[in-house]
Amino acid sequence: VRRTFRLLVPGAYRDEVDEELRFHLETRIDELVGAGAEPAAARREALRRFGDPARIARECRSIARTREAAERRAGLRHDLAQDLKWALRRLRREPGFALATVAILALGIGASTGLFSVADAVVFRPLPFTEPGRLVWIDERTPEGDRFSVSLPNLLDWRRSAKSFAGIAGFQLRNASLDVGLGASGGGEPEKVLAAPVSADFFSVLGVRPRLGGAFPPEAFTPGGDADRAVLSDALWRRGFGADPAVVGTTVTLDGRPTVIAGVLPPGLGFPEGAELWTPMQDGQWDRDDKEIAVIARLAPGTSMPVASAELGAVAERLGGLYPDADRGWGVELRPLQHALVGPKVERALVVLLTAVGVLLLIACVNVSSLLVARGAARTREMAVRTSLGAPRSRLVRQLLVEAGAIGLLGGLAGLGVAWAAVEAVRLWGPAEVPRLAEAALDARVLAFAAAAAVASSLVAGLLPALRTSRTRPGEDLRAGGRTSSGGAARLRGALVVTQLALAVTLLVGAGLTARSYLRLLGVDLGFDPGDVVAVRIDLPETQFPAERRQALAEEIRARLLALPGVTSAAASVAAPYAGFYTANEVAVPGRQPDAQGGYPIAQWRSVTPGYFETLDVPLLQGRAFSGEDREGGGAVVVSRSFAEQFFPEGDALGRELYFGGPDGSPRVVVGVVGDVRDAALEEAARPTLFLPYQQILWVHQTWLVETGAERAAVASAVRAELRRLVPGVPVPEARPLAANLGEARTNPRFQALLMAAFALAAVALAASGVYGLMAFAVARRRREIGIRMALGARPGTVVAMVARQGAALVAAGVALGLAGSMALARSLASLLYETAPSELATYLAAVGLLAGVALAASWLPARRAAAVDPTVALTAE
Amino acid sequence: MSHATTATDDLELVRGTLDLLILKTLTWGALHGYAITDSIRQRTEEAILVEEGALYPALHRLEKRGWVEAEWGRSENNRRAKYYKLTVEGRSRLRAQEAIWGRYTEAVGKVLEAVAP
Repeated sequence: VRRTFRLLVPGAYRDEVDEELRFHLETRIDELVGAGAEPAAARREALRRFGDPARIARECRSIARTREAAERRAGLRHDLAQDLKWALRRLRREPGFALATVAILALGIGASTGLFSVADAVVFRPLPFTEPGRLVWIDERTPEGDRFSVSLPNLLDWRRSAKSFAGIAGFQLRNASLDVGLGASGGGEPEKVLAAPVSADFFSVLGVRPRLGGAFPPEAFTPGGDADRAVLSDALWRRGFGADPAVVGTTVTLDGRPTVIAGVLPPGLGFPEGAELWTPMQDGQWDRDDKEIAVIARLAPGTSMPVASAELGAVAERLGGLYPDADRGWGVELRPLQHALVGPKVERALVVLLTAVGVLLLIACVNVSSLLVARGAARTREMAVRTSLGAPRSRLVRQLLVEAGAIGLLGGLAGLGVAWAAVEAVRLWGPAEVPRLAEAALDARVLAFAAAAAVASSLVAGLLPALRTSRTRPGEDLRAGGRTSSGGAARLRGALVVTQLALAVTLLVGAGLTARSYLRLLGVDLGFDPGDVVAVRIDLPETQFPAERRQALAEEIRARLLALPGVTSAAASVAAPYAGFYTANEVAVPGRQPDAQGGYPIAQWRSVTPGYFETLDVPLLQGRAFSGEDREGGGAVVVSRSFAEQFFPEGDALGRELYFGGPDGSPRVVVGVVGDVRDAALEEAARPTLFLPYQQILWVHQTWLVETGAERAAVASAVRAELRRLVPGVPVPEARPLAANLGEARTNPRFQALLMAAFALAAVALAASGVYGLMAFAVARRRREIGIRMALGARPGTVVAMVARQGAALVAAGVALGLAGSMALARSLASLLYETAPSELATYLAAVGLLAGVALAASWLPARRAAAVDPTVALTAE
Repeated sequence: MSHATTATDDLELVRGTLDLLILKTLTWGALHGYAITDSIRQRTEEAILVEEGALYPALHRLEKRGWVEAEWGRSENNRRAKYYKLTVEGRSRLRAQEAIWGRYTEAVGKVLEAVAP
């Protein structure tokens, strides 16, 4: 009642709704009174007919508020569209300025978007499986604390005992020969495919279902069950079977055995990367100390990694007690699957590169910013006129920001083209071992990144110039006629140029360190000469080539290869250097005690045929190399120098005994010592290595290494033809130069060094253009002053020195600031560098020298022009 | 409480009708709320507009949708009053609604007048 009363009290209206409703009520009261009613009764009647005015007013106000908000938004949209139209029209009128700024931003946005696309595919984007966060990679851990692959019996025991997992599964990756010709006899040319034997649950751990057919039935994994089944990748299904849906249930020949196709996986879900075909891995074919399987698992719902890790650790410890020979002292290590796949090194490298490209983008923004300040200085008059015509400063700032936004928008669009080219380039020339690189593409996430980069760039580039340019003093600026630009703009440009220089120094130092590290990596002493050696790997299926056959075959192949014209030596090994294949085992030396857990040290081993050291030019330091006589019974082994130093520190390894595979292994005698071979990773010191005669460990895969004379290509194809003849039905790939393996091992660091160098060069170019622009501007502004000085007798040299001094001051400030920033960037680089200290003085000096040189040259050109000023022209010009 | 429920039901039923009536009323020219009220009440013999105040939220909603626009002017008794008039959009909306309304009432009428089988 009181509210109603207040509403009807004459006086100031609260708002338009109040006024509107009161008009209605009061008109009604007047009407009723006019018809003869008492005022009080008229008021009651009016209210009765109206309803509750307070409620109705509330309702109206709420509707009005949303309407006004919508109108404001529409108005703003309209204004911004208007501003944008103006900004684009203005850019069309200044094509030089537009082209320069758009190109600079396109470069920065494009480079960062391209790199983001790569980093997103490789590192940031989750794996394409269901709940990828619950997928883990499990390794065994040696008593020394190194990660090691897993044995199938251990995997099966884990699966039975550990409750923290929804599933645990193992897999391997091997070359297989596939003949899609129908029937068991095959008949076509066998094709080499990458096959993954997988344990039970493999597909359910990943959460992948075949799109055609099904996964393997449980009996496929039990000993004696039918394991001759295969699941195909989508790519293989298309390539080899013409995407025929009727392929499920048909029979192909896999490694000489008729195999039924059980299913086809959906595209994009192949795991491990590169696998084209999956087969069941039967239980019971491996011993507990055959630790050769990679293992993935899915954490059970509600279980955390530490809990699962602790539980599995306890299981492993129990297994160590039950099977001391194989498992004593061994533990487990769990890692998120994504981390295990990408590896900390690639991840760090990408983060460093992203930081670097971010710095480049920042330089690009600052460069555009200083160009905008310069243009703003030329628009002092326009701003002063608009201010005196009543435009508020906020309106000017908005207009200027929209102009920067238009440049950012165009830069972003052009940047997408740059990014596309960058992604294609990385895919073509980037390091092959980076996982999921092929997935890099300009998808929605990448487009969103580009849009965000464009908006952020516009703001970073546009804000300071907008604030600077919109600050006008109409009286003075109009009187000055727009001829002189304010000292404030010049100071701001100076600061922006110093910033560019500082950031460029940072990138240069980073690029310098990366390049030095790469050069040192190139100069690493490998301990062998891959020069004229070609390598070809063949995989002999156990079914067709049992152990005795393989031994005879190895001797026959070697003899035949040596007989080929142009072959100077030939040998086989379980794996070629840099083939990414690591074999290791425990080694016990008589008289040496095991460690606290009862374990023995682990050493890398290679099983090789005679001629291996000769083919790779590994120097024989002591004793002898292998000969055809070193059969299983003799137990002769050759060790590397670091092996000899580690296992026989007292010296004289020759003639000493050791046990391969721990104290229960068979005894071996050291017959020779060879030089260290760095054959696994360029950055790592040579691993202590034990060489066994090939006859002692007859693995199904062997890589033939053939040293050739001059005619390498001809010999390589002759080697392939000879092998095809000797092992019919086994796919024989082309013999590749061994140096190519090394080349691949170097791609990653080379790629990093090249990218960093490209970023740094772009940064230097931008910074130099910034210096040049500012100095040219300063000279133009001081033409009159310079003219007066020259008229008063100043020599050209003095004028050059005067201008150059100004440039030198900028460069000095930029370099000093940049060095501080470099230290920070260099520290984050440290873990990626090979034998290169992040504080290496020479690199800093070179970076500073290069940038200072370029920047001084950029300021020298305008200085020269200043000296060429003709006093009479300069003084009469204005 | 049963009375309140009835009032709400009435309102729901009436809201669409009220919008239509307001738009129709405004075809004769710009009017303020009071004049619209009287016009509707007279024509419908007070059947629709139970509460005069209910007109105002309806007017504001129509304004928000852009079917009517408002302007302050002088009333007959020389006071400031808010005049509403039909926009182009409102006029075409009215034509569409009239057509729908015609079909609807015709259909409902046929059902209600039908003789039980």
